[in-house]
Amino acid sequence: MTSTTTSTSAPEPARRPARRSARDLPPWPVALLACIGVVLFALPLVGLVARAPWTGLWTHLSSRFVVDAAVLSVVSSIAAAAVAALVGVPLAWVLARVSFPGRSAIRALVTLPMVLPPVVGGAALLFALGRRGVVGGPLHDATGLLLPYSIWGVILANAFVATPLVILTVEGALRNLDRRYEHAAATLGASRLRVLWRVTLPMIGPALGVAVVVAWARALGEFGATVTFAGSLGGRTQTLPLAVFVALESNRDAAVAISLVLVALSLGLLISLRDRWWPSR
Amino acid sequence: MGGVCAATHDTDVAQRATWTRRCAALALLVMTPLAAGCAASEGDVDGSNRSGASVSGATLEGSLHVLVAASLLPVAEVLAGDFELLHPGVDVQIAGAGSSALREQVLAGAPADVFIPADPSHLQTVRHEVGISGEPVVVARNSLVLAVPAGNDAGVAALADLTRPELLIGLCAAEVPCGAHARAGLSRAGIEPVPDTDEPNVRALVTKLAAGELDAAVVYASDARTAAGIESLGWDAGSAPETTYEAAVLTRAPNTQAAEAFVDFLHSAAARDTFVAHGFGAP
Repeated sequence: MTSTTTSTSAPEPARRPARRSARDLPPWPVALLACIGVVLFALPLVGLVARAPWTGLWTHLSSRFVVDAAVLSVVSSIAAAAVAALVGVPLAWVLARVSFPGRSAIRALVTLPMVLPPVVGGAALLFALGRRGVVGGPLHDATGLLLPYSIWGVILANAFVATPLVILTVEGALRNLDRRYEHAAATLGASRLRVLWRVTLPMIGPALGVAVVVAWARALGEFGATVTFAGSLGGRTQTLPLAVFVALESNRDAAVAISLVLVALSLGLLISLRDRWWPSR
Repeated sequence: MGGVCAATHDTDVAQRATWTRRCAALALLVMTPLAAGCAASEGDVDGSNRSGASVSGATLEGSLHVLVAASLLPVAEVLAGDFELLHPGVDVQIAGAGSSALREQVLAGAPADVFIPADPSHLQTVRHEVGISGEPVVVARNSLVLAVPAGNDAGVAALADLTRPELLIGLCAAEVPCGAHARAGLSRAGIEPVPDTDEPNVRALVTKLAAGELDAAVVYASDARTAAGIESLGWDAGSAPETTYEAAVLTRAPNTQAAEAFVDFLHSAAARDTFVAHGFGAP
């Protein structure tokens, strides 16, 4: 663990150029299975690129419904990542630091959306927060606020599936943290909030960055919960994945063009993650 | 973490006991279906012996994959059950989705025997690109209606209410038959709807309507008849948009015999009664 508490950008840990030695070569079954794994993930991309309408690409991407969907997707996914961080980090802190009965149950509950089919999550949100929902009903009667069919519904559905990623990543980082720095700061008279703000958060900074970017990427690709909870209307709730789904049935070239953009965007996000954030311990 | 570790020492024995119980329960869970499977396969052997001895090669068997438009899903499940009673050797698998999504699946090589979209145009594409054996058979008709959640709290009265912006209105996306027909019918009547959502298929639309999350939607008469929690207000502007369901056996159907028998069955008087009971029109 590098021990910097003063500067926010931790110095690059000494990276030794990897030297190839016979010991590092994988045994052949490992190499074979790893290759199969790579092919499995690369093949769909090859299919997409092979189907791509390269000549008319820009025409497809600049059409009205694609631009509307792209703007909505970017805005709602960033907002969802922000919500995920705002809710996920405190939750992760509580789960990592506070021992209370039912903690495992709470952890299971808040990470459930990761394994739940998104459509189920969307339906559950609808029954809870829709106009006739358990909470949404009284809310709508009192304030006139309606989450489905609005960008707020899209953001909520996206945040619902993205937050667990933040919780798990940040909780892991908090558990691996060397707590002596926090103790030292507390001994020197820093309040708990100040310790959190000036010591803990900077130390888990890289992990927090990873968490937010992964949550953002997840929100960008969200489909099932969004369409079930927020519906699908061009310019209002139709995000890029929803636009792909609808276009796939009528205008396949446009669908493939949007898919390429989504792949490029997500791949870019993940690659940037690898270079900047992943601690090379 | 620390708390758990400290507790482990005291409850070690108790935990071991729990684990033993859990393992036993797990073993039971795993073995029950195994035992059932053994029993079933013995039964199968008996069954096939019997039929082999008595019937002269006309017995249908194997699994049959049927792709149906989302609007057909409820009635197709019932009809599949009836067909399986007539032909106990056949296992009918029904898959329902938006017709155009199904068409894409068929074109992409989905292993299907019978395809029944909500719009014959999808069948034409499939006929040209993949091939169908014989002529498609009309098995049912359907029309579109204005539908509201049970109770009709918003007081929707006519198709013209689809233009009221303060109401929550849902349609099918223009890309699927129910959306295309609805828009065509409304535009013939000079009505320009202001939807709050364009659902990717009619099942999704019916779900939202039945949950009361929409005030009105244009759905199939069959949905309005069978789905719990929604009411039909009919079609009050000229003649209602109609759609025809044609069934076709795919050329590359893995189980051609059963597929043809199934399409024949869909055309029978018994099947017609089932269709009508579910709100469809007879062919």
